[in-house]
Amino acid sequence: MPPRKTHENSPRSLSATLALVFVGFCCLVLVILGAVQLYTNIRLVQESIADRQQLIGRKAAETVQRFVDDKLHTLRTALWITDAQTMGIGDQEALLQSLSGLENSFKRLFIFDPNDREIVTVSRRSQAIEERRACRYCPDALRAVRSAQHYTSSVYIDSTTNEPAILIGVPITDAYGVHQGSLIAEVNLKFMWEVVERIPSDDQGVAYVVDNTGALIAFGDPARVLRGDNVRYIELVEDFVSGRIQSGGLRARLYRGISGDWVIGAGTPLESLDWAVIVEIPVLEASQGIIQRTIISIVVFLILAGFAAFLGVRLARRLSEPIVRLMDTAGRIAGGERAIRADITGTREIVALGEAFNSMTSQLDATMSSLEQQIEEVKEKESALRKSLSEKEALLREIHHRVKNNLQVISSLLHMQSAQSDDPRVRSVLAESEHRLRTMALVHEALYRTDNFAGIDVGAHLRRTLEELMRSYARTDLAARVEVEKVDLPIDTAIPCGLIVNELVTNTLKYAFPEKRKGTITLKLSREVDGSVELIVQDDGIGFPAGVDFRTLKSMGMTIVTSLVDQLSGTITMDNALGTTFRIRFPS
Amino acid sequence: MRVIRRGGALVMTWILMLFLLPLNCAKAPKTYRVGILSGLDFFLETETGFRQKLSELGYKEGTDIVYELHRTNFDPGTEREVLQRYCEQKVDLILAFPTEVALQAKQVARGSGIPVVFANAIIEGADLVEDIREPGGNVTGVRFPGPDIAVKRLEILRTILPHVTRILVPYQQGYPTIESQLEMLRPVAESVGITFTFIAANDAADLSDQLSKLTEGGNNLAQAILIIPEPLLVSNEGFAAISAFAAKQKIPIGGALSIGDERVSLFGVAIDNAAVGRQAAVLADKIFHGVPAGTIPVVSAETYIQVDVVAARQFGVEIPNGLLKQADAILR
Repeated sequence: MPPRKTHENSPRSLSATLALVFVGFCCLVLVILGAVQLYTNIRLVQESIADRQQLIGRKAAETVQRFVDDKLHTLRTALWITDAQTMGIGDQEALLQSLSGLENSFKRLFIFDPNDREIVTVSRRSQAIEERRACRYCPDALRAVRSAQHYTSSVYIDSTTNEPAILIGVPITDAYGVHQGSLIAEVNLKFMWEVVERIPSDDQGVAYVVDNTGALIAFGDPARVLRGDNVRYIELVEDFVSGRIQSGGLRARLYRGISGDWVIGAGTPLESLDWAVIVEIPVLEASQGIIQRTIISIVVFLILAGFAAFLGVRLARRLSEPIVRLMDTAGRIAGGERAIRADITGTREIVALGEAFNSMTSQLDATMSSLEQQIEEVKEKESALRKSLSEKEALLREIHHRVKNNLQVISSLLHMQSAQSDDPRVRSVLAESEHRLRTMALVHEALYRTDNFAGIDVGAHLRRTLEELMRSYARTDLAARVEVEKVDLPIDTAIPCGLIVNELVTNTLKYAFPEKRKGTITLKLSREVDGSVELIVQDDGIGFPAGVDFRTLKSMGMTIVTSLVDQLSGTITMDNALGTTFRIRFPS
Repeated sequence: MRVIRRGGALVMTWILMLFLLPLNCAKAPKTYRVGILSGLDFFLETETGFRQKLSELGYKEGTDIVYELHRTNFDPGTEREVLQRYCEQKVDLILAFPTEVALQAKQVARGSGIPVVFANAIIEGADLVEDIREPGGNVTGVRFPGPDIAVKRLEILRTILPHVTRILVPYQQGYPTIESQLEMLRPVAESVGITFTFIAANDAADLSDQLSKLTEGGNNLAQAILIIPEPLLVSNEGFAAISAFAAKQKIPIGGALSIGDERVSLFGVAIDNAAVGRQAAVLADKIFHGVPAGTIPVVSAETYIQVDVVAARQFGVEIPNGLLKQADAILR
């Protein structure tokens, strides 16, 4: 089963690549433009939110400031219209009762004489119980109103109700402005809570007031005020408490607000009080404009991206169609349909490409036709050559066969001639000649039996020559040891080589083992490292007589051997140590 | 093309997820069930203010919140049954008023996990909260400043009737917050030479009997009647009994405003029940937002003064100008 072609391995199509590139480029442009626009929008909306928060903060601060200013104004007005410094105690008490009835937030009201002695006290709660509660800030208030138009104390907690309160005071003066006493009021800040709750923040927004320690003194959730929560952990409050206030107040920023959620808040310190009003809008609500714009941008982006994708696919198809057609045509041509031509329509470049392709295809077709013709001709010549070669081989084989047969006939004639002679010398000479012819015939036999006329396996030929001689001389008492490698040699080397072995072995058989002496004739043939061939004919017989040089010996056999070695341009050495060893070396 | 199709499918999936995610995340809105027990019809406005404020806070009745109201009008047996039923129903919050009902609610709801918001309850002398800042348990609410009001009533009575030295003080026998008020009143009275005659009655009939006995033999020991914050004298029957006695003996009443046709009470120092209900609603809202009730500080109700010049005229009493100016309301 062929391996399954996976999508990852197959290259992407041209139209898909073009479409992806087009869509990717469009998306990139859209993203960059969208991001720039979105960033600009966000900056604008953020600035708008910050300004809005500052505005709300200022209004809230004005509202809270007005709450306290109204109380001070009430006290001043009461003194202005009643001439309190000349009143009797009863009238002063009535005045305080009137003020208590007029303003619910006045928990207690005091009138002090010029010596700071308490003259009259009126309380909304029971006098007897209130008397137990010391007026903590009264001494400060009395000191302050002597030199100032009014006094506002720090915020403190009413131990009975746990509610925050402040002390406010105005001086009582005569027509000449001489200090005649003080009018002090304890203001329950609980009444400010509703004012703060009504501060026109957003639906989800909150406003709260903190004092200079960060303590919460007014908030829509009274429980936190009553618990005495200090919200200094809020960044804006910390800035206010630490005095890090900018000219426009506490600038709007993002942080975790009083409810623990992410908010955008701004703060405004009050003018005459050491308080600040913080207004917070949940970040989601504040960022609604940004979110809407972002959603619109995303929708527009998706629509444009979809449009770009559609256009990209169409454009890619249009651009790639002629190329795809060209590719199909090329595929068909590659499949063998060389006659077809590309039908190209499209842009100028595509048409030019198509024409060039068609031209190239035509040239290729012509070249191919020419090549095919040439190949046909070469094939025909090759066939003729093969036929001729075959005929020549057959002829050559026949020649070798006939030479071999002729040599065998001559050998047989010599054998017959030898059989009719009584002279052993004649018979010996004839027999030797017969052996020489036989050796030569073996070479021709080997050649007509082989397919390779360039050379024959000399090793096999020499082995066979040795066996024939051993059989011919009927020396069963001698052993033959043949160590020949496969060495192919041409006929003009193989025949001398065979004749050399024939002469040397014949010499050995005749003289080395007299009187049926047992021994071994060894024949070795090997190809040396330098490419030359080494032939060794060795026996363990009685050896050459001492002092005899085989080169000068007047022997037919040795004469043939030395002349054949010379013919082969070789060398011959003899070792007479243990039997006789002839070592012949010649180039192959 | 397959690549493009796959990319398109991916984009569509993201868009779908973008739209569907908020739907998956949105929680089903909870409908809060609130059991309200009014122990005294006199404070019924508290429940009205409570609903009104929660509505303003965005709780839509029937959808976001449902109320079950029971009025027992001083019937401790029924009160306990109602509270137990609320606990069995596992309501989300119990609003109980006034003091004795709040105390019962605290007891019954203990261990149930149901938060209790009390209103119109005197915490002084009652085992209702551990501390005003941190009430503890699962209870919080709106404090009725009982002892303060009791003393303020005495002070105003003395402002109107400065020469009075004998004052009759009737009250509900065994009511849990009486003693704390009397403790506050006694030293004040002693300091100004006032003698109290206390009448602890079980009900209106008992009160009538005791008042009758008081006047037997033609003796009238009291020059004025002071009504302190307690349940008997704010019930129709109780006030009718004291009213009849006051009219007959020509003794003015002070402290709580007249109930019914007879205008026998010169003034009243009380709290705005509707405002108390609104304060309680803010606490309930916090509890619904997950804040444990026991950690929410107790808030105090604001007092107001009403003066009845018609009643004063009937008794030939002149209301001081200062008091009239201090009064939040004047009944003419």
